[in-house]
Amino acid sequence: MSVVITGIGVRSPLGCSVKEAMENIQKGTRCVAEIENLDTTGFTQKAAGEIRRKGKVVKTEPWVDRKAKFLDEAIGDLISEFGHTTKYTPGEIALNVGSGVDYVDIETLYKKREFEYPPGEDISAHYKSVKLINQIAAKYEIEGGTNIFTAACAASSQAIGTSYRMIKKGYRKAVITGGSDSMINYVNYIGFQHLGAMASGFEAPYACKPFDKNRNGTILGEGAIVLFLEHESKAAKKDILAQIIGYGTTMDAYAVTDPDPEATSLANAIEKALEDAAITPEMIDCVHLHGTATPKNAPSEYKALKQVFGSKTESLPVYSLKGQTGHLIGSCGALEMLSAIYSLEHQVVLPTVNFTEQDPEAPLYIIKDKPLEIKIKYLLKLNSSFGGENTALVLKRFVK
Amino acid sequence: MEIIYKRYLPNQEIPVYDHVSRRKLVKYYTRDTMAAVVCMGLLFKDKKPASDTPFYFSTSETQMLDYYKDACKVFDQNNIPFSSFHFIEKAVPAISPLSHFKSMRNMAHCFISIEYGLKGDNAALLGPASGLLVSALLSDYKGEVIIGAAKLHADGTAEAGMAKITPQEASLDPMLDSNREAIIFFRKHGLNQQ
Repeated sequence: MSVVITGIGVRSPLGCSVKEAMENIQKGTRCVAEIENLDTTGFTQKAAGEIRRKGKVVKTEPWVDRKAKFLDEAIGDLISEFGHTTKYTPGEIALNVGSGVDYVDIETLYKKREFEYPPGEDISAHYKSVKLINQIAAKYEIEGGTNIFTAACAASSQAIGTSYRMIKKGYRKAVITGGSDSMINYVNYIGFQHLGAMASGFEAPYACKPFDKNRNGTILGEGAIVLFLEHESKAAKKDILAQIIGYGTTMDAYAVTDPDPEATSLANAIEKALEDAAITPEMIDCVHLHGTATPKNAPSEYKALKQVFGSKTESLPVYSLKGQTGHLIGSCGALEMLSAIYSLEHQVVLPTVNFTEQDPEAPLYIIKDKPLEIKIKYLLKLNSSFGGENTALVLKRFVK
Repeated sequence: MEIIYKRYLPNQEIPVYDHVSRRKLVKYYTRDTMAAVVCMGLLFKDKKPASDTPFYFSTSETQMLDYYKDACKVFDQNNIPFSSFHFIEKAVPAISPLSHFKSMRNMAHCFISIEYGLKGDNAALLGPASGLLVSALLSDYKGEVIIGAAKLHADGTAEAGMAKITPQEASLDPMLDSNREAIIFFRKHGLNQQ
């Protein structure tokens, strides 16, 4: 018996419902465009994957912490649309979410020069993640513990992996897990650009080019995505979207800003996940990579795969969602679980949006133009962080 | 369980250079990261941990607004209103590039891992003690794992704690189900050991 995914709540560049998000994944809709929710006069890069509903950017006032607002909404949708929480007592359900840096409402900070509370709110221009997420847990009566994961781009994957372990080992009956992040604001967007990881010189929808020879950086996205995890024995078969059967996490311990070019720790995370899943590398049918479109990411992921999969690497189909949505940082792994579920349900590896030219330094098998139809029983999902945390999750198709 | 807890007052020097080999990285440290590095140095003063030792670390809410005070002063001095253009032209140059690193939650976890070559199972967390202890108890590692936490207070006071703990010890701790900050676990146990 395994841990299964039986519900999804989503606010993302792909859409604000599971149906809308899955349709856009299927179509390969480019959801990155010039930022609309913020005046970007003076910005040298203006592209981002903002949260959209039916194609239109969901706009908010500057004093709204988007990652908190949309996490609240995503959990609300998950509970109301799937209704699985009623099977459990509040104490049997935990909330494990990945999150990013705090939101500082710099406009209010400048104008007020003090942290006055917005009308009707009890929070200031500095929106503190712990307080906000605890408030959301209380609102939905989730009393089995609230844990916030902060490993940057691997935060939501660590949240999902830990949730899987909690259920597998009987610590909790069910977990609402995933991630919520938005860096599309003055302080965090420009800060990220200063770290040197952002793409430049391309039109917004084409700027994030995972694995492509001409890639030169990533583009920020935002979103809140939550999954409902429970033990297979407690789930109705018709509700099961996919199984999680393995998890591994390691640390590069190499550098703050760059991945280990030899990728030994990332390879080790894959090996741990495969060992946990009790399967061999030969059994993996495709890999959903982190695929950030930064110059150093693709060669590093290729080297990790090479260490684990050997000569199979060049024929193992791989994929990245980030060309479509941008990089959601603290919630990217959670959003990418949707494309993993799509692959398992529809038995396809989708084309990686904006990939056109193979990079000889990362000779991966990347799908172009049309979906690759193959039998997919086991799927490997990788994420790696700015800072060095690596995660590997093994998902299995559930045959209903 | 073996535990080290340290607290440094606002103007108190933190002896971080006694415990780091990569001294150039210290400029990226916040005061709570410095305190955590000192605790780690004291915890492993005799023998460094094996590289596959799991390491779980929790930070607390950061007082990040301090990083943007200089940017505010620019607006004051030039008597200009907030706008995107002015933010880019005037404020951004006044924000230290180091602040971007200092506001990232996983940096202490990263710096300590680099210093000690820790490459095993891990988690970077924020807030409650429960997440830290749960991560330790769910570990499959045979032997003690490392847990740590740090907090930087608004006045500059920094506190941190590091511990070697077995999954069994984590499972029995009363703070396992606590939503109280992780640093309280170390404060409580650390003071008891003194």
